[in-house]
Parts: sequence; C-alpha cells; structure tokens
Amino acid sequence: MSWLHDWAHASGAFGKLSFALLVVIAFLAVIGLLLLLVDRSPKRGQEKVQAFLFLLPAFVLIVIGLLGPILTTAISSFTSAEVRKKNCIKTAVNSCLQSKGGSWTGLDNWRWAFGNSDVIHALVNTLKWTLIAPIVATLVGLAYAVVIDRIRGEAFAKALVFLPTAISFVGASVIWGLMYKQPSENAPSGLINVVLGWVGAGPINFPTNNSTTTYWLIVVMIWIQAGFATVLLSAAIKGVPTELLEAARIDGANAWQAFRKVTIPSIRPTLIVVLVTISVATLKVFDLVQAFGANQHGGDTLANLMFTTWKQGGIAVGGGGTVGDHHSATLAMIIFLLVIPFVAFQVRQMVRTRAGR
Amino acid sequence: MTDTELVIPPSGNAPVTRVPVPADTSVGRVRSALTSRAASLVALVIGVLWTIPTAGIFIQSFRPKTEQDSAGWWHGGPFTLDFYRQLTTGLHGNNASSLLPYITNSLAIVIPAAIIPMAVAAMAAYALVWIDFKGRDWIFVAIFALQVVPLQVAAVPLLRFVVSGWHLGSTTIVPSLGLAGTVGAVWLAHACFALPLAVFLMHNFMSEIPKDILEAARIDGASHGQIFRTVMLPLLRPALAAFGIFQFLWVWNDLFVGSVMSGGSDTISPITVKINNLIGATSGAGGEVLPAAAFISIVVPLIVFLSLQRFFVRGLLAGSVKG
Amino acid sequence: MRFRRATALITLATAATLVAAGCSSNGKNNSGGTPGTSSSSSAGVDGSQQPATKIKPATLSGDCAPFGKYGSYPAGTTVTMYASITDPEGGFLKDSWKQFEKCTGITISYTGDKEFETAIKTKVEGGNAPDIAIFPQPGLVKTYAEAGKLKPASQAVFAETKANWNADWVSYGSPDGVFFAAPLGANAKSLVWYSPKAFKKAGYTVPTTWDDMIALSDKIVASGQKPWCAGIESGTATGWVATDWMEEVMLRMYGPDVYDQWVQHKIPFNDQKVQDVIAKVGTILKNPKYVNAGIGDVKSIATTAFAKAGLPIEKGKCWLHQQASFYGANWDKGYSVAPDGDLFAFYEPTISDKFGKPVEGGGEFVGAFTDKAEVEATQFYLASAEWAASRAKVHPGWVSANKNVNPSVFTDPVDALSVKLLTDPQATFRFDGSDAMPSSVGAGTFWTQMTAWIQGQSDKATLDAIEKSWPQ
Repeated sequence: MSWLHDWAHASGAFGKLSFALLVVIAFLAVIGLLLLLVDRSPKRGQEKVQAFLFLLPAFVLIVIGLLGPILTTAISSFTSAEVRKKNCIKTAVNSCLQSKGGSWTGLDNWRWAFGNSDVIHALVNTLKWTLIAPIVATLVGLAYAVVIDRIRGEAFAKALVFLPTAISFVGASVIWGLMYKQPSENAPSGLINVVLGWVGAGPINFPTNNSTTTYWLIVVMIWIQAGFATVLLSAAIKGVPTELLEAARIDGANAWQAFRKVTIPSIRPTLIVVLVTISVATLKVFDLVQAFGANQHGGDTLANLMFTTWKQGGIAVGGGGTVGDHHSATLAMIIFLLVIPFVAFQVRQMVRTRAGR
Repeated sequence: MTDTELVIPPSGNAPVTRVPVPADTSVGRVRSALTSRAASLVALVIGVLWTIPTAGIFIQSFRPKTEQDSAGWWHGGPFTLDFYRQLTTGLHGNNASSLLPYITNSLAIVIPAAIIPMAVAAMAAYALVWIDFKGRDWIFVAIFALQVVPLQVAAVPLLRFVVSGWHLGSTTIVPSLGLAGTVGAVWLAHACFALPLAVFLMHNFMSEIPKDILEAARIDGASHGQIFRTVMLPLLRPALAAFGIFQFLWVWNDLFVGSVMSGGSDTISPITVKINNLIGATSGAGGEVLPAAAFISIVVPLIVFLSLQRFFVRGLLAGSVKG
Repeated sequence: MRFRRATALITLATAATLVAAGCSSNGKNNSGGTPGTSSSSSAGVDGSQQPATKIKPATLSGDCAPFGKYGSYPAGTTVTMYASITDPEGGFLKDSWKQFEKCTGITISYTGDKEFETAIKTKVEGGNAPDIAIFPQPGLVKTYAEAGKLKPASQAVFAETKANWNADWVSYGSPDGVFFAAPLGANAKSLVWYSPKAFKKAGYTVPTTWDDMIALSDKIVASGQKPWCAGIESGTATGWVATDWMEEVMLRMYGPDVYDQWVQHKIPFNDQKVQDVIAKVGTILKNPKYVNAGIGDVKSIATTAFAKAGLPIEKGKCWLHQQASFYGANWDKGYSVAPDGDLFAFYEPTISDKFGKPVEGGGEFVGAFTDKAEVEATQFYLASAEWAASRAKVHPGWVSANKNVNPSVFTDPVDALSVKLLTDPQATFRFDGSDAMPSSVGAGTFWTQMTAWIQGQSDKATLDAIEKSWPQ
C-alpha cells in the first residue's frame, strides 16, 4: 500500500489532482455499494431500513462535524474551567491543577457574558450588522434585478454585481483597504476620500474611526452579498406568472402598483430565502472584522469576539478547558440562539409553502 | 422558468417589471419613458458602484510599486506585468511566491469537497422526501437548523476527532483515521459543514418532482436504490449543479477551514492561505503584489460561475419560487 | 499588532555603532525579576529542572565532523516545525539547516504560517502538535509551558543557550524558572536614523546622551531647520510608532523594573511616572520647532505613513528619525546604508546611566512539544553559534542576539549594528511592551489614544482614557 501513501502525498500538480479524483471515484463506489445493499433489503415493509441506509452517510458526517461539536459547546457554556495553581511549572504538570474543571456552574458563564461591556458592545454591533446588511443587500439586489430585467446584456450586468460574491474575504479586504485608505502626507488616499474631498467633506479614517467602523464594514458586506440577492431575485421575478401581471394591467394598475401587488407577493418566498441566508451569514461574520482589525477600533462582532476570546484564552492542562474556552463557548451559544429565530422563521415558511401546495 | 415569454417593447428598453405599461395614451407614453430612463439610471449607478472597487484593484495590479505609492489607481500611469509574473512563473528566477501550486492545491481540495457532500445530501434528501417513515420532517428541520453552527466552534472538536478518533474513557469508539495533516481532513471538514445547506437545497428540489413518476416506478417493482439511480439522479442535475457552484465558491474562498485543517502545510494548503501569508511576508513592503494576487484568486471561481450560472439559479430556486 | 509582528520577522538592522562609548556603568539587568514573565519568579534559571540529554553523539567524518555532537539518525527521521515566519524568510531558514539535515539524517519539515497563533492552539488542542514551534514572542512560550504542553529543554540545550545569550534572553525563554525555549532570531528597535554624510558636512556628531541629542536638535533648529521627522500612520494599526516612543523613553527614564510594572499594569497607566514619560516624548514629538521635518506640522505625524516618515532624510530635509532596524528595507534605492554612507542609524541614547543600556526589540523562541532525541538535536543545533552563522550567510537582513557568532558573518552594516547592540554585555533587553499588554490596550486604545494625543489631546486625557480601557 506504500504506493497509495506516496500518491496521497504527491507534490506534483498531476499527482494531487489525480489523487483527488481517485478519492472521488472510491467514494462514489462506496455509495454505490450502499445503494446495492439497499436493493438487497426486502422490498416491502422495510422502508425504515432503507431510509436508514440512505440517511446513514449524512448522519455520520453530521454527528462528527456538527452535532458533536455543538453539544460539546453547549455543555461547555454551563460548566467551569480548570483552575491552575499560580506560576506552577512542574515536570508532573497535573500536580499544578487545583481543579480539573467541568463541573456544573449553571448560568455563571452567561452572567459573565451579559455583564461584560465588550460582549455587550459586540452584541450591539452584531445587531446593527444583522439589521442593516441583509435588508440593504436584499433591497439593492431587488432593485437591480428589476431594472436589469430583460435589458440587453442582462447576463453581463448580473455578472458585474455577482463578481464580489465570488471574491474571498481575503480579496475583499484588499479591495476595500484600497478604497478606504485614509489620506496621508505621502501616500495617495483611497477613492472614497478623494470623492469626499471634491464635495468638501472628510477626509475620514474609515476603518479606525471608533464610532463608525461597524458601518464601513457593513458596506463591504452589502457589496459582497448584493450579487447573491440579485441572482436569486432576478430568477424569481422571471418566474412570476404572466397571467397575473396581465390581469393587473387590465385592472388599470401602473407599473409600481403591479410590482407591489403582484410581483412582490409572488417572489415572497425567495425574498425570505435571500434575507435569511444573508442574515445567517452576517451573524457569523468574522473574516472581515479580522481583516480590518476592526475589533481594535470599536467594531467587534460576536463571532469575532468569540474567536479572539478562544484564541487568547490560553491553553488547558487537561480536558477541562480554560476560562477563555468556556467564555468563548458561551459566546458561540449566544450566536446560536440569535440564529435560531431566522431558521425557525424559514422553517415555518417552508411548512406553510408545503401545506399550501 | 426560463421559457416564460414576455412582451418586450420593440424599442428594446426594459420596462420596470414585465407589466407592459399602457403606452397608447400620452400619459402612459411619458410614464413609460420616464420609468425606463430611471430604471436604466438605477441599473447604471448600481452597476458602476459595484464594479469600481474591483476595477480599482485590477488597475492597481498592473501599476509598479512607485506608482501605487504616489498616486491613486485612477491616475493610471506606467504598466507592468511584474506582479503577475512574480505570482506565476516567478521573477528573476525566484518563484517562491508563485501561486500556481496553490491553485492546484485549491482544486484538489475543491473537487472532492464539492462532490462528497453532494452525493451524501442527495441520498439523505431522497429518504426524507420519498421514503415514508415517522419523524422525517423533524429530521429535515433538525439538519437544516444545524447550518447555524459557527465554524469556529466545530473546528477544534473536529480536528481532535481527525487526529485521535473518539474515545469514551479508555474505550476507543472510532479509531484515528490517520487523516491529520492530510488533505483528507480538509475534505472531511468541508463535507460536514456543507451538509445542512446541501440537504436543504436537494430536499426543496425533490419535493417539486411530481409524485406520479416515483409511484409509477414503484409499481413497476423498482427498489429505492434503483429509483434513486435511474430516475432521481438525472432529474436532480440542476440542483446538483447549483449546489456544486455554491460549494465551489465557498470552499475556494475559505480561509479558516483551510488554514486550520491543513495545518498550513505548503503541499496542501489552499490559495487563500498562501495569499494571507503574502501579506506582511515582506514587512508590509510586500503589499504591492496583493492586488495581483487577489485578482488571480478570483479568476477560477469567476469562470466556474459564468459557465454554470444558469444551473446555479435554477437549482437554488426550486421550491422557493412558487408560493 | 499584526503589522508589527510581521515587520519583526523581517529584520533588520540598525545601528548604533557609536553607542558603545558613552554608556554606563552600573549593572545591567540584575535588577531582579525575569523580564516579561511573571514578576514573582525572582530566582534566576539554575538549570536544575532540565532533563538529561538523550542525544547519542556520533563520529562523523569530513564536512560532517562538527555535526557529530548532534548524533546520527536513520533515514526518514523527521522533525516537524511550525512557525509564523513565511516566505521568503521561511525559505532562508530552510536553506540554513541543509548541512545539518545531510549530516544527521534528520529531515526538518518546516511550515510557516501567518496564522501561527490560531493554528498552534488548534493543533495542540486537537492533539496534533508539531515537534517544534518557533514562538514569535515569549508570552506564548509561557502559555504553553504552564499548560504542560511544552517539554523543558535538556541540559545540553540549556548549557548551549546560557553560553550564547545574555541572561535577559535566557530568562525570556524560562517562564517561572524552568528553561523551555532558546532564542532564534532577534531585532532591535531603539535606533535613530540619520545621514552620516549630512552630519559630516554640517559638522554634527552623533549624540551619546539624551541631553546631547536635545542639544543637537536645538542646534539644528538654530540653523533654521527642523530636526525630527516622524509618522505613525499604519492603516488599522495607526499609532504603534508612538507607543514605541513611550516604551523607549520609559526604559530610559525609569528603567526595566518600572517598565515591567507598567506593562503588567502593576502601576496604573496614568501614574505620575507614565505622565512624566509622555511629557518627555512630547518635548520632541509635539514640539513644533522639532517636527515634522520635510513633511509638515505636528499633526502631520498622525497622517504620515510610518514607512515613508524617514524618507525626508534622503533629501536632506530631516535629520533624525526614530525607528527599528527593519526600517532599513524602506529606504529608496540608490542611497548607501553604511556608517559613513548616505544613511545609517545610531543607538537612541540613554537619559541617565542608572539602567545600563536599555535595548527594546523582539525575537523568536524555539520550543519543543516532544522530547525525542532528534527533536532535542534540532533544538541544540538551532541554539548554536554555527547555525546562526549559517543562517546569516544564507541571506542578509537577519540578526541574532547570540554573542558567540563571528560578527563578520553579518555583512549588512545595519545587521551588524543591531547584533552589536543586542549582544552588548551592558545591554538590558526588553520586549516590546505593548505586545505584552492585553490586546484591547496594546493593540487598541494605546494606539488610538496616542494618535489622538498627536492630534492635540492632552497628556492627562490620553493616559486617563487608556487607564480606563484596561480590562477589569
């Protein structure tokens, strides 16, 4: 099997790609086998067994990658950290432990979170993000989808706005770093400050201006997400039944009325998908905050604070976790709780849609 | 939905919506002209605003360092390909900052990371839609709800699993898979994290397929396995493509999973990790190559999106369009 | 902070040739506490807790003979190494130990990652720690040592390190009195850039005391010019340059002990001593007669990119610019950087001779997560003067505080100057203090408030605001 090992660790382009393909083929073969197994099971009365086999691979991945971690995190938010003796370094490290941690502490970690001004600040910022970014991105996407509908070069116009969606956060931070550059004595300023200069305003130190940092980052998020909204809403608009619009016209509705009374209700489900998807992405926003170092300038968000709390929380001797680990887990649970209403909303929508079919 | 045909004014100007505004009265004509002019203006403004930042970085990527330092990109100025050369074939015999090997790495990560969850989710969605058993709606909602798990939360427990398997006390439940530090760990992580959305999309799409097709096949004595392979998979193609693109963009642009699960090793880490490491690698004096680097990293996802755009939308929208 | 760390890697060089002359008498660093680490561990590092060596020396021939002391290992023996040093510097490291790999049979699998701090925590918690990590600052060594994740260095590595570095450096690698990590590279701040040619022409000499430096500044003012140029703009990290000024002056006015207390918040940030320091910094940075030479008024400091702030020296419009050795990379092409060239640097002089020669800077430390013989051999080799010389020969722009390296290997004059400064037996070395403060201060309010201070905020308001922001 050593040839397989060598292949797996190939460093050439061909080796790596062919190995990736080999794995895909092997994986599909396993899935094929599983399907054969399903065929072998008795045809009638064994629906459950078959369903189980169909669900098995997904179940395994979910338990490993999502369910397990979220349970661990939930428990961690209600338990204590290990306690170490001060300045203790011994060869037998465990003797430095005063308490292994992991004991039930009820809401202690949660009380810490809601009593900590940094957390509250990040929570407020996160709410700003969630209130502004999804709605504005969706509105822009909707407006753009409407105005480019059926014009010449629609595909091109759509691609222009979608471009940012295809750009990584790393790329986006380079791009907006350039846009936002503050004027300095001996380096060119960013375009935005130049424009502000024309109208006699500014200049502004965008990403380092404590009271407004969050808003400038939200602009970047809107820029990224609007393309996603455009592409989906544009398709939804094209799906609005012609007869309804015809009927509206015969009733004497003008363009705006028809849009409001016919188009909007028809694309409502898509609007919700778009809003919820962007909201969930916004609640988890972290890369942008990191890239701009915004947490140092009043622009921290929960997801980023959770990450920095974990990162700077030191490292545990045993499995009990450090205080930073437990606090970080609590912040993660707060994000989790914040996302749930959005998901619940969408689930309800789905159930309704299905019932109405 | 692509073949609903609409009345398009011969002028080629777009109406705001597809409602043909009565143009036979003078008021109607004026309104129509106004609306379409306003519409074009809005389209132009948004299109330009959204393109400027990217255009700026594109122009900047061709400007020598001294130009970048002395004037904004809108001034243009001398043109150089040096940064692109440095990031591809190498400059002055030094190709240490070439991105090409990392493009290969990213592709080697992306392909399995898109196909594995695709297949797994298709099977799961099939069971949830077409096999009748109790609690299937609950399972679906639960899977969907798991998309809220923040990645940063899942990463460490997942890595621990990859490295040492699962143990309960001293009993080994799952042994170490030996994936630590290999590209396999990156695949596994992406596959896990992608599942909720994948199942959601496939589920929506499959619920749209008329029941009769399946029932006819059942009556003919086909098993679920056969139906899945021969009937469902061909029908699923748009949904698979849509998810594939979505996942491709996500994995290609990901930094966090790639950097944590790959362990930063040069032979497997994706292009985003490399670009991130370019920043500051030369003490902030290396910032001038970033525009070119950012642009190179955009090219592949852009090609993928543009060539598969049609499927993307069709697949994503199934189930949500028709109310 | 991101930025600063990054810059630190790069290295530098600077210069202080002239320094040696003036300074002080009184003892260097034996002021007590191990710097930067917990102040409670007062004892020195005696090596009593270091484990015995596992290396079995081998007899090797030819070019490999000097490597016999590291042992000989079967083919395929691999040591994994993780660091924050990315290319091109990472590549220079890999080249520097080729001979060691060839002779001992050990393969060093090196990974440089800018996200080091995140990645190393994930790896250690995930049970996937590398054999060796190169920590970019001593605080991390302490974190991993106290959690029992790092292995104490062997007696052999300890002895080698003690022989090669000043005590400050050994103690930075020894949290709580146990030695874990030997230093690797280093860099020096504490430098003032100037133009030797212009000085010669004008008849100025390099100042060796703070008062001399102020007298020189006044002389330049009298001649109708402004002496100092400065710039603290650095994107989202704007302000860090001003924090360096505070640290340098704190070390010079009140010495390393008060410096440590200040960094660890054992004295409040608006303490009288800190007020004295900021006032002293203000006599230069906020003196409209002194700044901002070749650029503008006092406030222009806040909007001048740090990378460009010294450039007026090239044009003869500015005389003095305080910045770390890595600033050498920012000079335009066509100017010679040498003790008698267009540009060079001198040691930022002391204020009193009570505290030796304070040097502020940074450096990396090599810690091990496993205690295999081949890992120890690698640590041992990296602590040696042979390795440092090998690295210096690969590419200039790298500095070591290892005292036993033949200085002639540092061909770049700024590198040579930094080495001289760092290895000076009179030197009292301290790490950049703001890096050791909680990041909400050290990479947050300290930066932003110093920027506001440049723009006109009072000393007191500035310090009060930082004090208020100190966590809990």
